[in-house]
Amino acid sequence: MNVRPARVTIAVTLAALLAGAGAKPHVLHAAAQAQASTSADASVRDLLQKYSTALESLDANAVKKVQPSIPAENLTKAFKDMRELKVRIEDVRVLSSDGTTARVSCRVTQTLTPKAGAKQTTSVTRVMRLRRDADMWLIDGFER
Amino acid sequence: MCARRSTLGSAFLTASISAIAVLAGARPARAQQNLPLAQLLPDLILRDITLNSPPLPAGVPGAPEGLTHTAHFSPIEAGELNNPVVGIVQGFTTQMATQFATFPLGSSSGGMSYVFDESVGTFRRASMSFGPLFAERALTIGRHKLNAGFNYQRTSYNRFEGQGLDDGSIKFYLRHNDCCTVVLTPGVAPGFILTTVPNGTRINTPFEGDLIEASLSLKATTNTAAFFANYGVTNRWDVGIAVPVVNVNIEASVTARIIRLVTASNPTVHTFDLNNPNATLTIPRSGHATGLGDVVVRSKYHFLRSGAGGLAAAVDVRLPTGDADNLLGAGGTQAKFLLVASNERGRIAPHVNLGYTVASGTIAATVSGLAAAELPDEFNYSGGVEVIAHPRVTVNADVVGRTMRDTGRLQIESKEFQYASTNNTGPVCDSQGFRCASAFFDEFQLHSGNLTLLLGTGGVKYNIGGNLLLSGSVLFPLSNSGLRSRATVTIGLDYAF
Repeated sequence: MNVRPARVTIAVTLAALLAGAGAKPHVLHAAAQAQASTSADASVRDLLQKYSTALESLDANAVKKVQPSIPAENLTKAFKDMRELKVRIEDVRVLSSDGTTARVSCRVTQTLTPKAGAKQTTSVTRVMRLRRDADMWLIDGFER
Repeated sequence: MCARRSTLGSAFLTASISAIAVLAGARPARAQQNLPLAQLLPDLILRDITLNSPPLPAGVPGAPEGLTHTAHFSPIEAGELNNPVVGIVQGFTTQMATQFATFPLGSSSGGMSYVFDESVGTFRRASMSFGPLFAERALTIGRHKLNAGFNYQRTSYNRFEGQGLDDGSIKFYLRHNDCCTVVLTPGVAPGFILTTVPNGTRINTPFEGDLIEASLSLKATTNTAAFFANYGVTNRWDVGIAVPVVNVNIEASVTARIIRLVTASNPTVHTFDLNNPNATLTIPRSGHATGLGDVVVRSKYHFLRSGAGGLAAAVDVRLPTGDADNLLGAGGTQAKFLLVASNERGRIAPHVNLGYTVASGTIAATVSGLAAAELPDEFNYSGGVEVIAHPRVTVNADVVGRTMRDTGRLQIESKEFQYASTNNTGPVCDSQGFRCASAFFDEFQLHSGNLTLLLGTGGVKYNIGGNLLLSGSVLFPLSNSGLRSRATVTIGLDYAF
């Protein structure tokens, strides 16, 4: 599922999300949970899109809006050396969610064009801790 | 951007290949008259200065037939290796040989490396600085990263222990060989008997009291192209190699002047020109050698991280791959163990290196027939600062110091030269009743001790584009001891693959 085809790919399947979140045997209960998970998934995808957009904009304040705990000063310094940053997030899996917190696994591929030095790419699978704030998810931190 | 990187990469490779081709086509190592370059100066001073003195014909009363003074100031020719000037010349040339072959090479501390910083979730430049020029920093280049390049430096030397090298101010005093003995026989014509038997004194025979002042003018230059590569085995561990190709040029001349302490009344005894007994003799000699220098293999482990710095341990092993006899190598193996500390605060990145070099082997034999000196152990210390003037420009300043242990120091001092008094005054100092007088001249004297050399350096590393760095620096002496260079210019290219 390409949310932002040119830059961000958030590949999520509902079945995978349900399986990852742990399906319940009761059909009605499962259906309700599936509905909730779908809603959570959409919110998570929205969060990850904002996160990648913020990184690509090389704007530390924009990143801080979706990840309040980030050391913005350090990020600002890191951005100062960048000419361009491309971010692709894929293989998103909600590992657990209780409505107020969630753990999400995703593969983050970043391609850096620095002001000094050559272009380079790194791709890492990260596990994010999310928390619900009002009606939106925020990144609380990274487990790895 | 990829195309740009490719262009820069190929430009770098082209430059490297061109340099290799130039050096591969360089002249083979040779010195004049097939003499090893390390022996050029000793031969010039200790062998080549000979007199114009025809052999004595038969029938000269009291003197042996065929006696000639030709090689009486040539201790190598005469096999008189205990002549005091031999030790002085050997000390001088040994120190030169040691310092020629161990002049510092520019370091490669890696240029632009980016790391993935978990705390900010993206890339961060490992260091804003492109690293020091003649020292190391703790930072390694990163796992599976390779950087390679070359430095070229030209060094010419102009002073030795405070004396000018190329203006004739370094003087050696050649003592006459202890060749002969005269026995006075009053009442029997001609009143003496001369034999070619040494007697341990230059009072007897009196003509042994003359000296030759040999003034040296020397132009010595080295051109070194060092090719290097560093590879990050892990994020903390680098290994590397530096392969220097060295060209050494020596142009020397010695002007010899007879100091007639004894033979003023009979100047043709010691002369370079029978028609002009007071003529001086100037002998030029030159030699050059080009070839592989001492290859250095390097390893560095960044064991304590702190921001963009920390502490690292490094070892440089200098292998005896250079031809020491032609001053292209040190003649032995040297292992330098270094503790490296560096930091980065804003635009300033200081670094300090402390180390010790263990040496094994001998320096080139400079005087044939004499044992060569041991390659000395060294204390190494350097410190400096990198200033990040711009994301693409790092300005460097360093002090590089080394103390070579127990190499001895040559120092100018006034020396007394005794000779047989020509006016029959002074104390009697010979069994034959010769009286002696003294003259004093300033000459090097070898003293035991360490030799400390301090160099300052300033330079710039500039990111031309992509991962290509251009560096330029000037290295200048901060101490008067030992062999002192003029400002040494170093330029280099460094590419991170």
